[in-house]
Amino acid sequence: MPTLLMRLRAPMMSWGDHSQFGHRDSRREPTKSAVIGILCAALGRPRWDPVADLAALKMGVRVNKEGILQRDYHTIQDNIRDKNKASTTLSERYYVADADYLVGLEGELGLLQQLDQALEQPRWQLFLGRKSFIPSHPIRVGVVDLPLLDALCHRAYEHRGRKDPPSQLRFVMEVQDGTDIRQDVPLDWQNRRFGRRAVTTQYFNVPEVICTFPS
Amino acid sequence: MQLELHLIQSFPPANLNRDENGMPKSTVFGGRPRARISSQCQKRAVRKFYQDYADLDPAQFADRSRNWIPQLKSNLVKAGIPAEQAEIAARLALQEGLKLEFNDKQEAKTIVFLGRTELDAMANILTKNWTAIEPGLSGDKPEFPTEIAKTIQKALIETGKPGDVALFGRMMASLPTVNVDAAVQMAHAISVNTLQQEFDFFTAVDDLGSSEDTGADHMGETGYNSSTYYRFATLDTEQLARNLGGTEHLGSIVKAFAEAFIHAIPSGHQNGFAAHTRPAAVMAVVRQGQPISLVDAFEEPVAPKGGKSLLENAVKALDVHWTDLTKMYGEMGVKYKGIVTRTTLAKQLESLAPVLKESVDALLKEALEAALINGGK
Repeated sequence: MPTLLMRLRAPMMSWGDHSQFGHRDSRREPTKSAVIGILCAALGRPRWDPVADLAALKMGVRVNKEGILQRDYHTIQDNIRDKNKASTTLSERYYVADADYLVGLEGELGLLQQLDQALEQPRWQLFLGRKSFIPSHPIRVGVVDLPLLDALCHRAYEHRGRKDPPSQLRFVMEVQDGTDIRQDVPLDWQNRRFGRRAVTTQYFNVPEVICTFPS
Repeated sequence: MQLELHLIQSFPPANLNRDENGMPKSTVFGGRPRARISSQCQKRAVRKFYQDYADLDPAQFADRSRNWIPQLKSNLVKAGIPAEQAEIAARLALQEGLKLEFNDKQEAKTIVFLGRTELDAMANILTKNWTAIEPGLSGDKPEFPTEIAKTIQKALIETGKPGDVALFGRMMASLPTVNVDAAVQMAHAISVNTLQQEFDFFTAVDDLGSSEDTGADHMGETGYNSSTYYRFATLDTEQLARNLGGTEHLGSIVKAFAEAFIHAIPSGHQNGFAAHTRPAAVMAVVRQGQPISLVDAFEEPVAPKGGKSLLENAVKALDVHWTDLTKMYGEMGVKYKGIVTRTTLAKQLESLAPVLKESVDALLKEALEAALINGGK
């Protein structure tokens, strides 16, 4: 089956999947709920519409560049849970700095083309985990006629930075069974219900040709 | 249409936005530490600036308040309703219509972001339906007709939002149907240069102390840095028009926002640093499609070198990056682009040189025209 590819790149990104309130953690790679959320925003699909068609797509992530987990210290005044209105609420928001990802979604060609189109002319604003984390690169890469893993392995990317490119890249692939369970499959945005999926982390040697160097 | 604003702005030693240790915020980008001013910090500065200086109809402002009963009451009194009844009706309308709870001092238990246009819409519904409301107000347990509460809720969804709410969004836990999605995305400002965090060691001496007392009476440290930032925000004019419920005030609100983003500076530690500057370069892009931050221009930290200043090299990096992106991906829906820089920096422009403008005013005028063609669609 063909694969839709998306490039996720920004100085700051956040991929939370289990924390609430004051302490907001982040994964080291995009969650399925974040990726599908971006697609829903591109389509202009509201929170109360069903999302099962997108949740059924098989997802894989190639980490072009590993980020660094950082924390933003955030204060909130006059928050709604604060009874006496005197104190400031603190919130620790983690984010991934300086990372770069290639995301693949495998599924039916028709749906993927529709999503690809939407990414070119997004209906609503797109962001990478939080509204202020704005992409510094076009998200749209295109649809390729390759299964998920091949599509992710063969897509070239430009390597930036002083160090040589790594000989291996990390892949986080959705699998049928496994022990690494992520609760990030959107079932119902409105009521914040998420299903589970299993993923496996693999390291692959990537052929040198896929790496280009910007001037 | 997306209106993107890309700014390069230097600050002398400052601590505009600090973390829990009182140090200026930072992050890592391009493998190097960078200074950072958070999105939320800049947004607050922009909102305050916009309310204080923008040449806007006050109806376009909203307030975060708990004192909504007296406001609504005075609207009703103006419409000729006796004060005592107006107060009861105002309280009931807010309780039933907005699902707010009030304490004994007539203050709402939560702070609510409401616009003047929304308050007027509520008052309007109450006066129009006064004959249906009035009988329920007398007696020990005043009652409010359910259908009118529903009309109010419906009106709040349909009424155009005031500029503040339309730009920055609103989230109301008690009544999610009146939530508004923000039309503005503001990125965290990141320094284009490698961060060099400094400590200012200071002492305070007792002015009235005796001559036998030697040494300091207080010692402390303040963190600060001097950085040149890339600042970026993008405004979705279509979303804004949707939030405002029309295009009547669209132009003036977009202009007020753009000016506020360029001029507003966070207030943190300013009494001690007075880091009041203006951007050295302002670029505006109007685009149909996904907005693109140009922050990757500075992934390799900029430094003064090759006989050029930090700002000169930063402007050059921006120009080169714009050329690279256009070469790789085409113009990507760009409808308008223009840039203004300080005269000495303009020499660094190559591909953007043809779109160099005279002044920020001239740039914004053209950019707004391009963004608001067809009512922002």
